[in-house]
Amino acid sequence: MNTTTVETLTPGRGDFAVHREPLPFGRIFRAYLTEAKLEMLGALRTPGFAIPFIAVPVAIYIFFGIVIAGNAGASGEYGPGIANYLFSGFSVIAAILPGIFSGVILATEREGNLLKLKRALPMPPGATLVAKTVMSMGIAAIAVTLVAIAALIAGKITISLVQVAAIWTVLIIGTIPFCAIGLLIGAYVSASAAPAYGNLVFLPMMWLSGLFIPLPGFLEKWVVIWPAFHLNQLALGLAGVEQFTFVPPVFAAAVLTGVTVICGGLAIRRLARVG
Amino acid sequence: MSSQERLHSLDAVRGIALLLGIVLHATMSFFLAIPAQDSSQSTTLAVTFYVLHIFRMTLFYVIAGFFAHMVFHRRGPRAFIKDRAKRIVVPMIAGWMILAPATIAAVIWGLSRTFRDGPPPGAEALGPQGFPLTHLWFLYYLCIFYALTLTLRAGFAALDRNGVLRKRVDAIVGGGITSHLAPLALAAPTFAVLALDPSWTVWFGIPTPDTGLAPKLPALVAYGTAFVLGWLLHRQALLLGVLERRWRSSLAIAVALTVVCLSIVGMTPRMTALTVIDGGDAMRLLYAACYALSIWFWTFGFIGAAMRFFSGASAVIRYLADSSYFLYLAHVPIVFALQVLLMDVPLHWTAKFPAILAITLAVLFASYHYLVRPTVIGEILNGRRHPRRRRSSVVSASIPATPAEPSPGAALDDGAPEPIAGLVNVTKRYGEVLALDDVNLAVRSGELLALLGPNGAGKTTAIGLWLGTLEPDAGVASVMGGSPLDVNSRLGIGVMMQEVALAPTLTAKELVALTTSYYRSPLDVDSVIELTGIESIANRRYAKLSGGQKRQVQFAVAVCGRPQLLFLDEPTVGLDVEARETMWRAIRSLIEDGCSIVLTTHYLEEAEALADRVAVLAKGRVIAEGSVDEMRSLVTRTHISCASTLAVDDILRWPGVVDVVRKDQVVHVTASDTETVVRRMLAEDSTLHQLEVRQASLAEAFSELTKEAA
Repeated sequence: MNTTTVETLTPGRGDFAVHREPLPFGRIFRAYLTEAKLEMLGALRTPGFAIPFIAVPVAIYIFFGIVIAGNAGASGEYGPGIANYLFSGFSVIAAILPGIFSGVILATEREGNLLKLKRALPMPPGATLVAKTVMSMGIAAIAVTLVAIAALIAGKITISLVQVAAIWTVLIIGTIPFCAIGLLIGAYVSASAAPAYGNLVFLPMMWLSGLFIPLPGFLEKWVVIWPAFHLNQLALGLAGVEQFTFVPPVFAAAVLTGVTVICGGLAIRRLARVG
Repeated sequence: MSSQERLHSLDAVRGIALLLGIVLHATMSFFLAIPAQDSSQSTTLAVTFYVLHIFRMTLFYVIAGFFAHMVFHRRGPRAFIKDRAKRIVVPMIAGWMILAPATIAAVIWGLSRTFRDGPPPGAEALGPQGFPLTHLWFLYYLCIFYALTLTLRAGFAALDRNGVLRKRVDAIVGGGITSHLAPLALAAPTFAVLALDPSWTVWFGIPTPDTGLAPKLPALVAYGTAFVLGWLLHRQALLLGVLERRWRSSLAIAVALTVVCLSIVGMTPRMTALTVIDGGDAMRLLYAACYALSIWFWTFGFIGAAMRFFSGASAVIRYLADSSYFLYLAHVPIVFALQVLLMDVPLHWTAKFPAILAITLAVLFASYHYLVRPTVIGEILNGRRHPRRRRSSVVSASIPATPAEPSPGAALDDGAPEPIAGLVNVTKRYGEVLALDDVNLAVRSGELLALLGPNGAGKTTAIGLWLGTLEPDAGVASVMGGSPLDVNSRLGIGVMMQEVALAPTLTAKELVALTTSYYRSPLDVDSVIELTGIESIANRRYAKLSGGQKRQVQFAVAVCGRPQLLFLDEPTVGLDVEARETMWRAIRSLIEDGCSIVLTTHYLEEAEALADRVAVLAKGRVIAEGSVDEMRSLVTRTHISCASTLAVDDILRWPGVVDVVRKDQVVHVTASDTETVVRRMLAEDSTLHQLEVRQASLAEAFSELTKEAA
């Protein structure tokens, strides 16, 4: 290319400012939407992610919550209401799984330099994390819906359909703190270690939050350290299942908000510089 | 141990003493009715309170005395008073105005919730008795001690003009500490005031003087002793080494004495008989003695342990020590409010107590870090301000916006149009490795700049700085006239990185569609696919593609936003010939459309085929920059080959000849002065034939240049 061409193509000083105008809100919103849509599509196409998180909770609920514990629990100290508690407990498991393990996807993308590429491209800065959160909520919505259908068909729960819907809604929104935990894992650990760390968080939390098995006394006092306990409490509390509301919903919500802010904040802080 | 190390340790002790105060106040609702009586009561926390209350203030005042002596003698009386006024009196008065109302409100709230049916019998005795100093009493007493000590010292100095008395005092302090007698001697005054006071609330040790402006005798005696000891200890700070050696035995004795005390007085306070001890006067004296002694063993044990463990200048310890003053000042209303808030929550204290501490500390540390440390408040409390470290990005982002500052490109070629991307005096390090060393580079609008250089020359680092994935340690990087860290500056750029894995389960078409959503006026997906020649793989998932096909999809992603500036980091690695031709065609058509391109490549023919300008990087520096032709001519050497009978050794001696090699009949000459050498060869060998003169290729120029740089 000769110099004449260069000069004719050269914009004057300050012309770049036109190109630096921010995108209109609608366009940014659409970028978020596209990112979330394709994140969801990608997750559904990943057999190791979608299938276990959608199918496993409903399967274990049917097996443990309906077949095994259903009749035995009804005659116990809580009476027939125990079925409601089992329903919400297993629903919590369905809700938190995709969030915690969304970190695995994030870690893989971080290691594959995809996050770095997206940071270089003019992607709206929050789109990756928002997309992963929306995707987790989407998968959780499917999984919790299946548990709810199983519960309604089995007919053991004594709460109303409106209460089921309230629990469903709280749980889907309540996926967010667990997504923050997952993203924190994904922001820090390697892709190969991320599933291990996810399990390290998930498994103790599943057993020790008192979601579906009675805990020995000394562990019972410690359920409050697990966010899953608070999500369960928030759902039961807001749905008005007073028999099983042990902490005020405001307190549970505060804990979950705290988890979201701390874990999400640390993840964002890290991802702004690394990956 | 150096004096600096001593100060670190003592700074840490002071911080610990203050932070333990937060723990102490957080225990209160779990065994007392102040500020509120929690539904879950705890003997463990009562004992925790009891133990912390024994020594924490004494520990604090010893250190306060030590530092007071230090400041006084380093800076003189006038500066000392000024410094203390700023760091103690101002926080005391200003703090009181904010904290006292909040604290009192929290207490009233808590009491009203605890005693819903009106105050309990005998509440009068527990109510406020005089001016509410709240927990800020510790600053008030500190001021009293400063005043008393300065007065006493002035009188003492007047008496002791030749320093004999001073030596005697030093000898007594030194002898006391080395001979183990110090705890006994120091405990004696406290023992006396406690044992002789019939209204002594035994379980609560030294009564906290948090109400009333008139100094209370027990606190004055007990903490005054501590302050004076600290003052004298600074005169012979080597004595701290003695405490260091004995930290274990001191703490062991302290624990034993505390066990005795608790066994006499009970694990929790008897609220109905606060001044009574079972077992009569003898037991009362024994208790007072053990209590007073344990104060000093705990204090010496803690100071010794800190000398042992905190003498290193750890940044974390220093931060904690710095923050502890503010944390302690501000914590009470927060702790009390949380205690009242949680009092009826049906949770065990093992959950509530840590929650109260965690929330309090989180709130306090956050406010310290953002509102105190970098501001004038931090300057008052800690003596200096710690500005929050600003990243260079912030600076670089502001430069192009202010016309008074030179724009990033101006330093490069004054008068020329602003470059579309520039690095101005950029330095970037990775630990010890200097990746870029004061580099200046400009990409002009509409040109293709090829960055050449061996591995590790800094090419990818330069691109990373332009993309905003890296930040310069010094200098300014700009794209589109703005900071690369601003997403709006990047709206006009496209990127193809080395070694990137796109989302494996999405198809090439979806990946392109996703990327177009980021841009202002992108190409439509189908024309991108056509331009980049990936029609046949457009609907296949990325994970199923071959290495070369993946590079093609990455190229499509890079160009789909119709960028004004495109970064291609080794784009054609792993491509077959046909795919490479397609990519070259696409690149040329982008340039024709006015796109500027930065290309790094190992293939020199790629640069020769595409580049307007070449910059050669080696070891983090730009060693040459110019058009492809200029670059060739920079290395003016030519290759002359001919069939000749001339002797190699003779030719080598000619001026203008760099190197000569003979292969059979043909002589290969590398010359720096082509014309002279050719003329002489023709003159000296009339049979010379098959003469061929060739300019060095870019590859030869490049290897020559980088060899020179090395």
